[in-house]
Amino acid sequence: MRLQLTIIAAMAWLAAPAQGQDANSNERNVEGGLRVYSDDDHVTVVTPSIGVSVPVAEAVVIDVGAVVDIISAASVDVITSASPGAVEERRIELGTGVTWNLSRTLTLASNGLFSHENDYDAFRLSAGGSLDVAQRNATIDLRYAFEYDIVGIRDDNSFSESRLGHELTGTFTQILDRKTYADFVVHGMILDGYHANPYRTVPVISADTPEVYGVSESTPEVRKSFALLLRVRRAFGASGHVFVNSYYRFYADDWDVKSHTLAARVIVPFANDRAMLGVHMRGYLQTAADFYQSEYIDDGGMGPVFRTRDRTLSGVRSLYGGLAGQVSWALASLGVARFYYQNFPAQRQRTALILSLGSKVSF
Amino acid sequence: MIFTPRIDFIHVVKKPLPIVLMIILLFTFGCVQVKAYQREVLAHPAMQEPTWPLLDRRDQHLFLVREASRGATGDTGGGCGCN
Repeated sequence: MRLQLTIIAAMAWLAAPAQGQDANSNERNVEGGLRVYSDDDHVTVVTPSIGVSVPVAEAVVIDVGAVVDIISAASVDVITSASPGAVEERRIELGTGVTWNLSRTLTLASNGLFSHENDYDAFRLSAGGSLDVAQRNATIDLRYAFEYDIVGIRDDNSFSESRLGHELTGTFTQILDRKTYADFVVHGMILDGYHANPYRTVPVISADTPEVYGVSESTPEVRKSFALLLRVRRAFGASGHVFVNSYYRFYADDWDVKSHTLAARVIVPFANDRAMLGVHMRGYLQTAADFYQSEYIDDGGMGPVFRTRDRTLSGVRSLYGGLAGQVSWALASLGVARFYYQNFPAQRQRTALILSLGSKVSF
Repeated sequence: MIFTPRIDFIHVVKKPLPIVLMIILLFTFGCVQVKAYQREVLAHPAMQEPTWPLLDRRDQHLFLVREASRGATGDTGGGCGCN
């Protein structure tokens, strides 16, 4: 009995650093997935993905991964753009990362990501570290990310705009009792550069005549934002038969967008923990950017300085509900998301169906 | 008509500051020490964050390109996602 307790204690100690990361760095992991997204705005995205993590030294793990989005779209945005017509395109995302467990309590990590579309390239570099404190009852995690996006226009090599970004994320994780984690996340971001969509035109109504003319989008160059998140992960039942992971996030930026996100996932394991079934719910409420309008009026001959036809900058509400299940190495989920765009007359609602399949093998 | 964005970032940041401080204080003073051998439930896969990285990362990207908020949920951005 004493030996069993010792083994359980040792396993738990290894498997449960305060933040709950996978501490078994001797395993090679291969994961693959397929996701299908389809909505009533005639957008379909098929996303195969693969990822591999390999230990290359005693305390160093390298991850590599690839994701491909195969997109076909004839959405409102596309058919009202300067070049209307259905769009078929691919986004390829390649990522790599290295994790270095410097000591029993200190871990450093760095990641790089490159995403390519025929008219959009995105680069991400991030670095940070996490430190277990208070006898591994708490973890402090700090990460910085740099991003650089290049926006182009298909079949027009003369157009090129860019955007720089800096992100800082701090996470504090605390074990509250034998069955409860609490996470507190602070995120700040500055984006500087081109934020508009070069394909979209904004209809502007002349105040003097009934004329409506289209102009390109224009937004402020700088956007500063911050987000706060509080998450609680708790097991219920004598030996943890039901697990609840819920969070609330508040977001605000200097474009006057504010949002509240509330999400919860309930997971029930069965078959001696060889399988898990989860129910996921998410609600989202967002105010519009202060320069967003459903229609712009030109009453002085100059037109509005800032104008956008980006539905995501209108008032947004969304609801998501889904089921997920894992049996051994196989994983599947099915979800429905419904988005409500206030003051976006071209399409006020969008309903999406998301199916995911995946697997992860360790050896 | 000329539209100019209202830059009141500092004003926005000030509002939740008391809430942040309260939460930090709650974490600092309200916790207990859980020994290593008491962490069996905490070590369960369902207690990890993210529970299913393969699903959760793609979910975050989905919401990232269809809503205007970003950050604190583990999203990494990367591409316009054909909005």
